[in-house]
Amino acid sequence: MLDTAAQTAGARQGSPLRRPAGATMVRGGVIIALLLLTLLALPELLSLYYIDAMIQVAVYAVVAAGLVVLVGWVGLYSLGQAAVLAIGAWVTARLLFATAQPYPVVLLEAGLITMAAGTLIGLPALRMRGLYLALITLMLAGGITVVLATTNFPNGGHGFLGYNAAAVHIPAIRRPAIAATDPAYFRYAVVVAILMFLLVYVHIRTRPGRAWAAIRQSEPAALAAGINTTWYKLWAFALASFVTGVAGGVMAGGNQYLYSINFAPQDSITLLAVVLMGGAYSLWGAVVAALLLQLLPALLHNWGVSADWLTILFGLGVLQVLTTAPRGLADQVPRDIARLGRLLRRAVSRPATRESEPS
Amino acid sequence: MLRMHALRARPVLAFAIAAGLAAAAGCGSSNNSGTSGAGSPAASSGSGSQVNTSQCGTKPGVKATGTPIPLGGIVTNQPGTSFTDIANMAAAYFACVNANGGINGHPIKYAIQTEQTKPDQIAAESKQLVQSDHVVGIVGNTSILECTIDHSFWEQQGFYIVDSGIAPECWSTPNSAAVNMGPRYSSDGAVQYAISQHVSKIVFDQSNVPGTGYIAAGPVALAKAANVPIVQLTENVPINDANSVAIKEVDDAGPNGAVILNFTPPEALVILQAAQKLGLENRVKLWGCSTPCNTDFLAHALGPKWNHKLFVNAELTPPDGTNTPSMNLYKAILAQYGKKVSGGVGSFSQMGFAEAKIMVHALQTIKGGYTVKSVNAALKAVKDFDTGMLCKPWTYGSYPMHIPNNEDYTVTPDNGKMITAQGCTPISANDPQIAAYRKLAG
Repeated sequence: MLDTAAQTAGARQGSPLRRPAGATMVRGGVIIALLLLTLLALPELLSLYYIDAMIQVAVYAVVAAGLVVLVGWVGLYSLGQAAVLAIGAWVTARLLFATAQPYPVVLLEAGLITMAAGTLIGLPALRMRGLYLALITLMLAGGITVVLATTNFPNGGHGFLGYNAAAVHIPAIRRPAIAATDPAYFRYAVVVAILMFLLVYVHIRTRPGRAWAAIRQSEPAALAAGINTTWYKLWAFALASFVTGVAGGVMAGGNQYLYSINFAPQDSITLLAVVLMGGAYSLWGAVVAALLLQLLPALLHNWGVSADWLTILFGLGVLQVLTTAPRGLADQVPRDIARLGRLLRRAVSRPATRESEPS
Repeated sequence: MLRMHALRARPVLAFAIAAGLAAAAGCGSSNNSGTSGAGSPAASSGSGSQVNTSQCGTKPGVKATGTPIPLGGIVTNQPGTSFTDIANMAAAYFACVNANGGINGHPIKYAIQTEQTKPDQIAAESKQLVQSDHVVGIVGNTSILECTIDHSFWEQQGFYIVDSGIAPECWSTPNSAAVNMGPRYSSDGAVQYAISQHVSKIVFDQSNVPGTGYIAAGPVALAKAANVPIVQLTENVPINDANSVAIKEVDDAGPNGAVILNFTPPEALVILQAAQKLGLENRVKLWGCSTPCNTDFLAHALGPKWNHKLFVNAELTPPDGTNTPSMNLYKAILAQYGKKVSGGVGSFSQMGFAEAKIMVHALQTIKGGYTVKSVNAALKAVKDFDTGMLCKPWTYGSYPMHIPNNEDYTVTPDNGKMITAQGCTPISANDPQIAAYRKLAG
């Protein structure tokens, strides 16, 4: 279900690349089992420390999925996703403090408003790509961070900004009534993440996905084929911004307190690095990226190892992935495991063959 | 990383990047979360080493071997801001207690969690302490955000924490009592000193971070009560154009006015040095600063031109020249057990000492088992306890808010050292929060 590039190519080109029905069923079964494990078993098995970390994994998996669309499918390197996430979180917090709307409605509104803002950020993409686009989006993210540092996140105050600088008690951002506890909110975050993944998946398996793939391969060729590249590039930014905005909304409820210092522009660079490590061409890569970005630091912290080491680790990881496995860990690890399995099977079968040989 | 490295750096507590703590600059190693039990004593040295550290326990020289009493604390430790000295000093005190009889034979096992100003991480760590480490008491917390993030959790779990506060909730909630005054009340102290010197106007300038309105509310109330006009300014940090900041402050204050700063030492130093470079130090009646400026590092960097021109609020008893048993014990424990306290003698370690002393005192009053219920009831019952580090005895009590440290000193530079300009003075009850607390606590 989550493998993308190969499946779309298969769908386009016919049966030779199409996955066998049995294999698809196995993969579907594995995904369903994983989801059931995540939703039912994990909250019971994990301590609250790790449940909090897994809520962040769910949030960042969605953010990474948006980046998979931009980088993996359209070839647009955006370094503004942390700022887009901040916009989503800001809008959610403001709406939750100002209104009594149901949480899902607020998430939807946050997604739509962030989509509008994110599409504006994507406008430079119409004229540039590569390093220049990365630079422009990074600078825009820096600008948004400065604005947020000045205006601050809403904390229950009045006015448009909703910030009360004199608050003696800062109220927590509310959570949905059905997800007030951490385990329940983790399940809620996972369900939202699944919905966002499905939205992205539907896009990349249908006409927009094919158009994006064509643009990534060659924009002139896509134009020649009659693809409205301007429209589809903006569409990609809109989709990525929508899901990232919703992720920001989930983050708002997860953290319950938001501060501008938690949305540094350089976080976008780290995010891109882990998406490249996880795999920018597959939604599995987004999941791996989120685990690297949020679960790994929690694990290291719990083991008494400074998370600062991750900066070096991620740097080396990107280098390794780009040189040996451009499709990322999500592609490399299963293949390496399969290769290891074959080697082990061969090693086991060899002595047996020798024994059966006539002396 | 900012850390106190000069002797006597004075604490601080300002909000994050803001007027926080950190006295003096210097590099320190980054500590990760860890557990510290009866740590092995470091080599004895320092001014307090002549004092017998065995005074910290009830059975001198007898190592505690009973079932450990698990305690925990959460401190900020990130590039630019590290408060680990406070928890590490508390750990040193506990190590001393463990080596001298423990608490009725039980050693204290102290788990220190570090955080990097991330709300989700802070929330997770508090749960980790309770759920996985099974701590029965929380002491030594010093975090930019922790009080805001966790106060509801502590209330739900029945923990009464003893901390060094930064966020407003450290003083405004029922389950947190700090040994320090924090940015608001420290700024109050600086402003009220200026008012006592009959300035005609006050300019209160601070870094632009969340909580500026909360901090400024105190100084504004004090100035209003004294009928002294006050101008509030905020600056984005790091300050890029200190000259403009200094000129604006001086112009706004006028020749008989006062400029009061609430910044971390490096930012305050940048402003004060800019003022000196432009020859502005004598263009106002006096300059003032909240606690973060109370470091010899700053006094030395400014030079003699600022002698008796800058007046800095000081929340804790100056260690130099104070020869009380508690101060000597503090220095002795620091010398013998405090090898992880990189800042040495100074406000951070004084806070850690005071918090640990309060906790040990509370534990020693418990009859029976050491549970969350018994330990926190004992903490709550602490009344008029002499920490040896504050102007007056410290009380927890059953109040909806706690500002137990509400008297301060004022110090001033004197040829590279900070000397006392004014002894213990109560923070004015014209700050409504102080008035509310005094009404509750009597």
